[in-house]
Amino acid sequence: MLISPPSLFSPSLLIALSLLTPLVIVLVLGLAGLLRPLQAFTLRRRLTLFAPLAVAPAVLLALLAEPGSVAETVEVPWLLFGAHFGVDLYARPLLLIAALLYGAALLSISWIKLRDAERGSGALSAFLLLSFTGNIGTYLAADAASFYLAFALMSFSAAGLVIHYRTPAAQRATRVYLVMSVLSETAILAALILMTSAGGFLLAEASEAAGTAHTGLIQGLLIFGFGVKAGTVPLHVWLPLAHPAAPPAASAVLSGAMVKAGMIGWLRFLPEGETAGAVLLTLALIGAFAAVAVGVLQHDPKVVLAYSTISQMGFITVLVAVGLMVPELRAATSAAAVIYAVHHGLAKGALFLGVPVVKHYARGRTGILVLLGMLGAGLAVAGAPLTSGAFGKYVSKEAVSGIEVLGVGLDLLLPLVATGSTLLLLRFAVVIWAADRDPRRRADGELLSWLGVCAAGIVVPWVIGARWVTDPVQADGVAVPSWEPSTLWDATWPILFGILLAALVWGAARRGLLPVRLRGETTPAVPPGDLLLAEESLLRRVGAAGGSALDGAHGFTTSAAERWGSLWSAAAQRGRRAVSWAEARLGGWESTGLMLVVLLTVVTVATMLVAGRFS
Amino acid sequence: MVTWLEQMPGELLPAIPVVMVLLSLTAAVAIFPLPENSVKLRAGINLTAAVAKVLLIIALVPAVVADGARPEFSAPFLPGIDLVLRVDPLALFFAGLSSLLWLLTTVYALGYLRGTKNKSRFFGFFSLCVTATVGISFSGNLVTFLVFYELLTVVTYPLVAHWGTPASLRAARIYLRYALGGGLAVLIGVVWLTMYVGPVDFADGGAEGVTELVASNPMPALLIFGLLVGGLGVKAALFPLHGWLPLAMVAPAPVSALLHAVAVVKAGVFGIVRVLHDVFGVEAAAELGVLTPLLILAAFTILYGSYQALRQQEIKKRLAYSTISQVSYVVLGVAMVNVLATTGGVVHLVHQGLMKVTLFFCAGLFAEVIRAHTVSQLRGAGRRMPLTSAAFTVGAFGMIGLPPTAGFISKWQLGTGALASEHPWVLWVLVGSSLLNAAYFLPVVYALWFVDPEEVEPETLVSRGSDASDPLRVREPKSLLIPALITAGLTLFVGIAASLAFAPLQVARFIAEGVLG
Repeated sequence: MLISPPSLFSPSLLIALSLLTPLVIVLVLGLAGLLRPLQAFTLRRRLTLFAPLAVAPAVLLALLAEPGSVAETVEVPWLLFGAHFGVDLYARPLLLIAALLYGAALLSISWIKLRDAERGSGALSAFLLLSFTGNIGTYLAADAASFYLAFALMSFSAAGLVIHYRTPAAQRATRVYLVMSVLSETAILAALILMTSAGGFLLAEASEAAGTAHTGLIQGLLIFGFGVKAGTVPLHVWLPLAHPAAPPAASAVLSGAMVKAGMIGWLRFLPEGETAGAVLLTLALIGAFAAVAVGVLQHDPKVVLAYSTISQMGFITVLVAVGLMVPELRAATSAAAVIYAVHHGLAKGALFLGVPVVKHYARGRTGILVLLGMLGAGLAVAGAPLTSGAFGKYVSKEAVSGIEVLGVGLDLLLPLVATGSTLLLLRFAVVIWAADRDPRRRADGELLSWLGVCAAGIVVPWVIGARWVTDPVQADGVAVPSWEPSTLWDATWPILFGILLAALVWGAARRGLLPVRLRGETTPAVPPGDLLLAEESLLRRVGAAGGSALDGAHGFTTSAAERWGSLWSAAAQRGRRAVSWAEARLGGWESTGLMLVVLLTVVTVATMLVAGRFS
Repeated sequence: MVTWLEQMPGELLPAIPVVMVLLSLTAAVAIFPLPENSVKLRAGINLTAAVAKVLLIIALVPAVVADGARPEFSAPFLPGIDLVLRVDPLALFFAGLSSLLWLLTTVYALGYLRGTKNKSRFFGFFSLCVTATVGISFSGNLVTFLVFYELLTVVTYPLVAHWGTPASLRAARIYLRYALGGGLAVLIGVVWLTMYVGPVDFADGGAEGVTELVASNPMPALLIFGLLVGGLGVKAALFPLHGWLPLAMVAPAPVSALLHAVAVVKAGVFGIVRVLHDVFGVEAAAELGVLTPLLILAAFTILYGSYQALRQQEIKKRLAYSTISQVSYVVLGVAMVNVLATTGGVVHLVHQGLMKVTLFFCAGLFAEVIRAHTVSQLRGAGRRMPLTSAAFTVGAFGMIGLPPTAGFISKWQLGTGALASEHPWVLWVLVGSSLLNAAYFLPVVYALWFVDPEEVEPETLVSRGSDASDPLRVREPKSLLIPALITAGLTLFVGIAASLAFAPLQVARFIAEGVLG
C-alpha cells in the first residue's frame, strides 16, 4: 500500500498517527484545566502553538499512499464492530486538502501573540482538532460504523466552532446547526443500519448492498442526511448562519473541508437510481443558481461567501447526481467531483481566511500581495483560464457532456454557475472593500497561513488531478486540459457574461431603476438563512398543533392513570393499611426487618403449600 | 487470580455464588449494629466486601464464558424445591454490573452522606439491596428468584424513604404499593406454574415441562406468562406500570443511581429476560403469541418515556423518564428473537446501567455543589464544574446513541436486529427515540457548555470550597466526582472497544447465541 522500505511509514502507523495525534493534543488541552490557572494557561498556549503540526501525519499519509494499491484497508478488530481504515482514490486528495486547510486554520489562530479569537483556553484549537479528526476520519473510514463515528465527531465538534464568539447571532446559528445536524445524523444512522443489514457493512460492499434492499428508502435518507452537510437546498439554511458566525479560520474549514464530507458520503454510499439522481439533480441546480440570487443581496462578506459555497456545492452535487442517473458515467463524474472539491476547498478556504487578512494587512506593500492573492482565489472560484477552477470545471463538463435537463445540455448549464460565481465574487469584493480596516500589522500566522493556502491552491489541484484521481485500472479518468483557444474561451465567457450582468445591474442601480426592496441599504432584502424563517414558522405551526394534540392525549392518559390508580388503591386497601403501619415505625430498621420476616414467611408458607401437593 | 481459580479444587467452585451472596449479606449484618460515628469501620467493611465481589466476578468470567463452567450450589429449601444458585453467562453479566456499580456507588454514597444521620441504616439496607440483586442474578430456579425479588422490594423501601420527608415517604409508599402488587402477581404466577409442572428450574430453551404445558394448556400458560411479565414489568417500569419511578427520584442520589442503573429496574427487566429465555423458552413464547404484544408494549414505552422526559424541567425527573424509555430497549431486544437483537437487548442491561449511573452521579453533584436542580439552573455549569459536566455529556451522548459511547453500540445492534426480525418497523422506533433523546439531552449539554453562567449567588460560592484564583470554578468533592468519571470512562471504553474479548458486547453475543443457537 505504501512505500515499503522505511517501516516507520507503515500504513497502519500513519493512519493511527493521523487520527490520534489531534485527539491526544485535545486530551492534554482539556486535562490542563486540572492544573493551576497560570500553569494551565502556559501549557495550553504552548500546545496551541504546536497544534498545526498535528496535521503532519495526515499530510505524510496522503503523500506516501501509493496510487497503485490504495484500496487496501487496515483492520482494527477490537474497535467498535471491527473497524476498517484505508486510503482510496477519493480519500487521498481530500485528505491532503483537509490537512492543509486545518493546518492553515490552526496556524492562523495560534501565532505567538494570541489573538482575541483564541481566549487563551485553547477551546478553538481543540474544536478544530476534533473536527479535523472527524473530517479525515470520514475519508479514511472503510466501514459503516467507523464512518458514522467520524461523521458524528465532526458534526458535533463543529458546533464548538460556530458558537465560539457566543454572540446572540452565533448562538442562534449554533442552535439551528445542531437541530439540522441531529436530523442529518439520525437519517444517516438509519440508512447505514439498513445497508449493514443488507450485507454492506464494509465500504467496498455498501453501495452494492444498498441496491438490493430498501433502495429507495436508503437513497432518500442519504440524500437528506448528507444534503444537510453539503448545503443542498432546502437543507442549506444552517449554512449561511453558521459559516459567517464562526471565526474566519473555522469558516475556512467549514466551507472548505467539512461540506465535502457530505459529498464523500454520497460518493461512498449512495446506490444508483434514476429517480434519486433526478431529484438530487433538480435540487442541485436550484441551489447552484438560487444561492446566487440570494447571495448578491447580502451585506456581510462572509455571508456572501457562504452563499457562494452553497452555489458551488450545487455544482458538485450535479456531478454526483449525474453519476447516479447514468451508472456508466459514475467513475468519471465522481473523479470530477473530487477534483472540483479539491479546487473549491483550497480557493474558498483562501477567501475565508482572506477576510481578516484584508482587514489587517490590506495597506501599503502587503496590500498589493493581499489584493493579488484574493484576486487569484476569486478568479479560481469563478473558473478563469489557467486557474484550478478552470481545470475543475473543464473536467466536470467533460464528465457530464451529453446529459440534458429539460432539453438544455448540462454542459451549457454548468458554465452559467461560473457566471453566478462571478456575480457573487464581485459582490464580495464590493462589501469587503467597503468594510473598515484595522491599522496594518506585522506579518504573522494569519497572513502566512493565508499565503500558504493560496500557494497550495495554485499547485495542488493540478498535481492531484494529473496523478492521483485517475483510477490506474481504467486509466481514462481525467485529462488535464490543453489550453487551446476554444478551451480558453469556454472558461472565459461565463465570467465576461457575469461582469456584463453586474455592470448592467450597477448601471440600473445608479439610475435608481432597482426596486426599493432589492436595494436593501440597511438590511438585506432576504435575510441570511433565507428559507429558514419559512421553515421555522412551518415547524412552529406543526409543533404547536402536534403539541396541543399530545397535550390532549396526555390529559386523557393522566386522568386514565388516575382512575387506574384509584382502582389499584381500592384493591390494595388492606396492603396500604399495613404499609402505613410499617411506615409509622420506620424510625428503626427493626420494624422493616420484621416486615421482611413476615413477608418471607408468607412467601414460604405459600410455596410450601404448593410444594406439598407434589411431594 | 485466573490461574488460582483454575487450579482450585472442583468442589470449591460451586461455593463462589454462595460466597458472593453472603459477602454483601455479611456486610449488611455487620453494618446495622454499628454506631453512627464509626465512619471508618463502616466504610472499611463496605469497601472490602465490594472490592472482594468485583474480584470474584473478574475471576469467574474466563471460567464461565470461555471454559463453559456452570458453578452451582443448591440446598433444600422447601419440600421438593431447592434453593439453587447457579452461575451462567447471563447471571455473571448481571452480577458483574451490580458488583461494579455497588463498589462505585458505595464510594459515592460515603461522600454524599457525609455529615448526615442514619448512615448505618442506610448502608445496611444498601448492602441488603445488593445481596438481593446478586441473589436475583444467580438464581437457578423460579422460587429462588422470587425470594430474592421480594427481598429486593422490601429492602429498597427504607432507601427510598431515607430522608424521611413527607415527599419521600409518599414516594416510598407508592413504590411499595406498586412493587408489592407486582410481587404478588409474580408470586401467583410462580405458584400456578409450579402447580402444573413442579419446581421450575431455569434451563436454556425453557424449563422442563413448560413447553408441554404451552402445547397442552395454552390458556393457563398465557395467563401465567401475563402474571409473571406483568408483575416483573412493575419493577421494569413498563407502561402503564411505571408510575412509581419518577416519584422515587426523591431518594438520595446514590440510591437513585443504584435503583435506575442496576438494582430495581434492572431486576425487573432481568426477570423478564429469564422468564422469556429460561422459563418459557423463546419458541414456546412465540407459540403463545406473546412476543409481538410485548414488543409493541416495549416500543410504546420507549417513545412514551422519551416524550414524558421532554416535558420535565427537573433534571432527576427527566432522567427518571429517560430510564423508563431506555430500560424497555432490553425488552425490545429480547422480544425480537434473533441473535443480533437479543445481543443488543442484553448488552443494554450493562450499557444503560453505566450511562444512567453516570447521569445520576452527575445530577447529584450538580445538586450538591451548585444547587442546580432544573435544566435552566445548569447554564454555564460547564465552566464551573468542567469534569462533572464532561461526565454528564458522555452519559447524555450515550443516551442519544452517539458514537463512540456504549449507547451507540446498543442502538446499532438493536437496529440491525430489528431489520433481521419480522418487525423492521422497530428501526423507526429507535430512530424516533434517538431524536427525542437528542431533543431532551442536547439542550442540557448546550446549557452546560455554550451558555455563559448567570450571576452566581454568593452563598453557592462559599458552600463548597470554590477556587480562590477563579471564583467561578468549584472543586467537586472527590468521592463524588471520581465514581462519575470512572463510569463515564467505562461508558466510552465499552463503546470504543466493543469488539474486545470479554467486552460486554461479546459476552452478550455469547449469551444470545447460547439462547438462540
